[in-house]
Amino acid sequence: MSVDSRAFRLALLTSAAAALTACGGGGSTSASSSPPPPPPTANVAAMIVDGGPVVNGMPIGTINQAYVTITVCIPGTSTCQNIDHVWVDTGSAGLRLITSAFTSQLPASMQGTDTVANCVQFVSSYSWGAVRTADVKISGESAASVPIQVIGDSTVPATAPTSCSNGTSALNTAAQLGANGLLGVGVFLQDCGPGCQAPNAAPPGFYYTCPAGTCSPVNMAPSAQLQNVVGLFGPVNGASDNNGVLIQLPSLPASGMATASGSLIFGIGTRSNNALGTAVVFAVGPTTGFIQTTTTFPGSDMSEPASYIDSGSNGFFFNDSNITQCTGTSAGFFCPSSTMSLSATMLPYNTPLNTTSHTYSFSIADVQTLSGNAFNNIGGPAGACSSAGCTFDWGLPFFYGRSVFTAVEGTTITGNAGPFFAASTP
Amino acid sequence: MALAALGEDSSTVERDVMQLRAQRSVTPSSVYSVHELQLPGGTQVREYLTASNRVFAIAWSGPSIPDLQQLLGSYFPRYRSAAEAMGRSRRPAAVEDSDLVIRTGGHARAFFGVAYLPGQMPSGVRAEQIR
Repeated sequence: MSVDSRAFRLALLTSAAAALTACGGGGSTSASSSPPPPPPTANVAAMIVDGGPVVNGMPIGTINQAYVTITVCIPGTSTCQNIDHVWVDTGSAGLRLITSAFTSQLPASMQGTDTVANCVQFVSSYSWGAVRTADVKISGESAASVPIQVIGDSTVPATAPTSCSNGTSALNTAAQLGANGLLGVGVFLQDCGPGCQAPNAAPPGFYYTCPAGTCSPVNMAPSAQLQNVVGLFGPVNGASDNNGVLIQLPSLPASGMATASGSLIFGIGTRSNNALGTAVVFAVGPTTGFIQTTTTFPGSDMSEPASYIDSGSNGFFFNDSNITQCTGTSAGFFCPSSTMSLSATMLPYNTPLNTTSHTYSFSIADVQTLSGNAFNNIGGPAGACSSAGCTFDWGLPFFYGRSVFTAVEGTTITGNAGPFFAASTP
Repeated sequence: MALAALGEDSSTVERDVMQLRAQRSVTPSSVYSVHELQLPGGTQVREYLTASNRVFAIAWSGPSIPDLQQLLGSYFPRYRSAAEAMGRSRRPAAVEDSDLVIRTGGHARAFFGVAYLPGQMPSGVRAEQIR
């Protein structure tokens, strides 16, 4: 399969040194790109796209996974640990860390005598673990007593219930996740929200307790659920950067890079370094998190009302029968015989009531011809269309060379009501 | 007895209602009927039955993915193989075979999918109607 295959990973590793040299060393942006990131301030965390955490002596060899380092502490103490290669995800909410000797010391969330377990479902994978509480710090920002998921925690059964896993891939180790954790900084403030709150029947796929080893869904009040950490940030030097995030990654050459360095900036319009400026704002559906996309590819005009911007997706995923799909180890990606220049139009969820739109250009290359870890031109088919319609998943390739904002629900920023995504032009 | 519904008779829908703790409403028609299950948390499952009460298609949408082992029954292993092949990539799993089509999509708090048996679709029913 695809980019995770052993053969492709080896090719990436052997090419890493050459690509790094071509780009003038790690941490730099490419020659023709946007201005360098602002100097580090209280709200700027260094972000890197590289081969991922080292497992068994070598980097995993991940593709288009963007990471930050975070600090977690036992609540109310200075007993802390830094955790590198935490994957930044605008498609989910909550901090999730692969279990370690340190995270197992964090206090567990209990219902009665049972540790509360947490599940997160992705479209073809899931993670399973226990809920624990930590003080969380990143750049100059901090949040106290945050419920987080400790993935692979031994205080809950090792095997997730089928209503969580659904037969999909487990992302329960660093090697499986391609990261030491996941920092969900999407548009929602909690992983589940009011749907998990009593008196609703407890839904599958979120919170469980497992008395005698048998797990069943349980209710969880929003304040006790996994939290989008950004929403909990307190004031720093007179500003609270708690209404969303700005991601800035450098432009890339078409051949990709071994490493791309950028910034995860907290707050939107709260400081001089995170203004919306001329970015185009796309309101998202308040329950779905969807925006709309329309594509006008030759012979296949399409409306895609179940679309989203997702730093946790490693490609552009959309349906276009004109683009050759890969077979063999790269199945699920596009493999056009020559690079295709395309464009698609992004719109708010509530168009046509709101007529804001912008057309973004991008390219799709043959994934099998590329080497490195950071690419702005890979993608694949999107799969199903729902009753709401089809999907255009604007994954990490969209972020290179742009400022991309994710504003949380319940905020209003220069007259724009959250939740929304916004992106600079072109 | 299989727990699940796809390809089986209407008694398995009863089982789904119980196992998934769902509330059900039925929309009958002369060609096929739709049993809509409302799951805890807001996820909807629609089961499409032929006039002879065989489940020929299933669609779902909502904040969590329903128990697909329950709903896909004997077809579940083929979905699982497709999903396992996706790994941590967020490419949605799909099965596109002559006898079975499964397509999935969505993201956190908004998932959807369809599964149907092309060979058992009542005549005149198009795949686009399954949603």
